Amino acid sequence: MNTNILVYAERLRSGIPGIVYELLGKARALAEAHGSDISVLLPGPATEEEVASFGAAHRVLIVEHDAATSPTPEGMLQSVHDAAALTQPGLLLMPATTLASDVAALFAADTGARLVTNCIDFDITHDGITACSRQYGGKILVDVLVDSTPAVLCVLAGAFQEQEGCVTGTPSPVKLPSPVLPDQRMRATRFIPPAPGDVDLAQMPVLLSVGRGIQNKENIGIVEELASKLNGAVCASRPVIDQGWLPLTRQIGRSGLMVKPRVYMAFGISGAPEHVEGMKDAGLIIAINTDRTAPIFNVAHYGVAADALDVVPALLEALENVVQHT
Amino acid sequence: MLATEHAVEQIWGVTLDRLYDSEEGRRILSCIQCGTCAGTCPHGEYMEYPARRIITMLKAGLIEDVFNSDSLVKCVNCYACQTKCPRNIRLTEILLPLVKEQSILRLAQMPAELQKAVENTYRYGNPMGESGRKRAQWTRTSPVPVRIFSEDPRPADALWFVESDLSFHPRGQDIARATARVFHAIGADVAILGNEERAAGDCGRLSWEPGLSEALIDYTMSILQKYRFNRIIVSDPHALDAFKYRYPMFGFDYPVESVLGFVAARLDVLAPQLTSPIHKTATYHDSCCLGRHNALFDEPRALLKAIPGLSLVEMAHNRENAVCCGGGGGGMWLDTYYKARNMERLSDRRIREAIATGADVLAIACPYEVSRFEDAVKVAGMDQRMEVRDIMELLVESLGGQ
Ligand SMILES: Cc1cc2nc3c(=O)[nH]c(=O)nc-3n(C[C@H](O)[C@H](O)[C@H](O)COP(=O)(O)OP(=O)(O)OC[C@H]3O[C@@H](n4cnc5c(N)ncnc54)[C@H](O)[C@@H]3O)c2cc1C
Ligand code: SF4
Ligand code: SF4
Repeated sequence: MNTNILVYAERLRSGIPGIVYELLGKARALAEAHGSDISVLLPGPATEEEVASFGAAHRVLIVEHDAATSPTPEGMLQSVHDAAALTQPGLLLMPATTLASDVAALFAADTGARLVTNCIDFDITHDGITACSRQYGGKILVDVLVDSTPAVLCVLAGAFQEQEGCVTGTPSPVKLPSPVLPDQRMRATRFIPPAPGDVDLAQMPVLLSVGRGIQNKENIGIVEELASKLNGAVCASRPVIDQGWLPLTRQIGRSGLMVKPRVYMAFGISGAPEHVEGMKDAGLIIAINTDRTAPIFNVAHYGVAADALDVVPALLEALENVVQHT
Repeated sequence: MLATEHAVEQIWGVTLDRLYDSEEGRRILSCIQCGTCAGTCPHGEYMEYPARRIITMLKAGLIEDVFNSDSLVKCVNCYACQTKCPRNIRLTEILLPLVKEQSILRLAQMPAELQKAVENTYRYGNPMGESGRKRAQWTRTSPVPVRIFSEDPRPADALWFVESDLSFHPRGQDIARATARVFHAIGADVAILGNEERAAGDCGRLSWEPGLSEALIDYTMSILQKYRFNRIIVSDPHALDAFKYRYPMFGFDYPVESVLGFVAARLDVLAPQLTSPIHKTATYHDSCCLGRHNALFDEPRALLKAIPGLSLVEMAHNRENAVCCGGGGGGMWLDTYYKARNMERLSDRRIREAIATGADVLAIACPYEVSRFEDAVKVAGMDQRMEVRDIMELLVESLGGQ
């Protein structure tokens, strides 16, 4: 069976979403088992750093789009056709985003390839490609066997571990022709950001999280001050939310939000498994707790056994000095 | 006894349109509309259609209205209505699951936390999403050796079904280790399935995923066949329910006991070893499955009374009248769904009753309760005053030594 893999790296405005690295991580595992060849299709312009971040792949196909052809599904469709012609994938992996799902459907319709949407898992087996798809708003899981290639899979974010795909390397860059669309039926005219509600914690690179150790609602004020200095936001453990000190949208954990910020600082949080479930994948975890035996230290990269109410003002002061010196 | 295919269909295959084909289903027609069910339901005040009204709507052919409300998503499967119904209608076992399944199907979106738990159970065999290969890891830190069947397949008197919370949750693991120590003290000959174990499938059913439960039941039945034992003893009361009421419909015929009942029956061996006194006051929270559903009211109290120094006080609602911790029927994964509807968390309500007794210890016997109540005492700001301990942990403390 053709086990070659083509991963579509969607680029939304700027930056590459985590799901692309999730797909690469899974692709890497499949390559190990089946010797698959891995290519990434990346809408340009691409920086060297971005290309290097696709170390899990053998090559990166870069396509320059002009403003008229990107990011429309029709524009991307042409590039996917070009990339598929070049790499002959047995497996085309797309993030299950609005745009990529359109591209996937158009590509499948054009080529007669089998398409499975909303996948949460997939594998290459003896009989073909198996995929598990989430249907009806998550109420039903369907196991699908695709016994012809290429299989086109739209995969939901969170299906795999992002770290597994974050390997730097030197994949060979290949330039693809820009799509030519004489009668573009669809055009992107402007970007409308979602209505401003509460801060989107999932997007914040720095999160300062408070637990019962913060003692009272008033003390959250200085943590907020620190957060604004660090371009971060304040979030909390469930008991803090339950007492009404912060809104429900700020709760981290199993019954709240799952977050993966670059830095997560936990002030006075004991590290109950229900809390840890929501933040354990953060890039850098720093825990501040008076109790040296608190379980939060088991997941923290750095730990400070101290009173949070001493540490926060000290950090504020230190930042003040940094600002003055620069 | 091997359940016949007919019997399986009778209950497992009951659908609402065939409800009156079975005797238990027809009993619904005898409802006298007394409203006891609605009045006793811990979430009754938040339900547009509590059990009594569901029956009216069903008779009037308006059941779709019930499905389209989310009333039954709020049912935590506590058996309070079924226990108190003067006409003995099996509400929690038959009618409510059918209605709940339809109500969840009609929700615009499955609550995210519940969906994740169900998917994890499907993919990994436990709602936490932990690797099945780590299931027996807790045994390495057990104070006494724990026999795993796959490593030592000799016949044992009992197969101990540990379940997911005791295998993976850190506080659950404390309870698992304590249970192993108690078994050791009474000289019980037990073995566990270790990494071969997967969730029994009760939570799947109670959160209305019958397909998932069936798959797990099939799996567990096939593993059980590999080993020789006389009985199954179960730590998790929800799994106990699965083995006692669901598995027999699939041809399962082993005697099943709760760990609590098993140990209580051997109190004559255990009691003389309980030499370290615990000078504290405890109050016991009756788990819905152990108490109302399986009538294990006296056994936990007998175990607690056997601990020297420990005095026992009762909460305002106890035994049949105990208030659910809110974890059953998928409630364990619906806290945020309920909170978004301004419903008070039942564990918070229950902990206030526990605190009002003045006890130092809240004794429990269900692994959901340890995390729910430990959290609830924190929310009440009473974690310095009251500790939450499983009965097995209290017994180990009284055994002394370690
Ligand atoms: C079904 C269920 C779902 C749950 N979901 C979630 C969830 O999504 N998110 C969540 O967070 N929790 C959740 N919980 C609750 C969880 O079990 C814990 O109760 C909670 O995370 C504890 O919050 P905490 O760490 O703030 O409080 P505590 O556990 O009380 O910890 C406070 C910590 O602060 C330290 N401390 C005290 N004073 C200071 C000081 N001056 N300086 C520094 N440290 C100090 C203490 O040593 C202690 O470790 C859930 C529970 C259940 C049962
Ligand atoms: S089982 Fe409990 S929660 Fe469900 S309807 Fe009956 S009383 Fe209410
Ligand atoms: S308690 Fe029983 S008899 Fe009374 S209303 Fe409810 S279902 Fe009917």
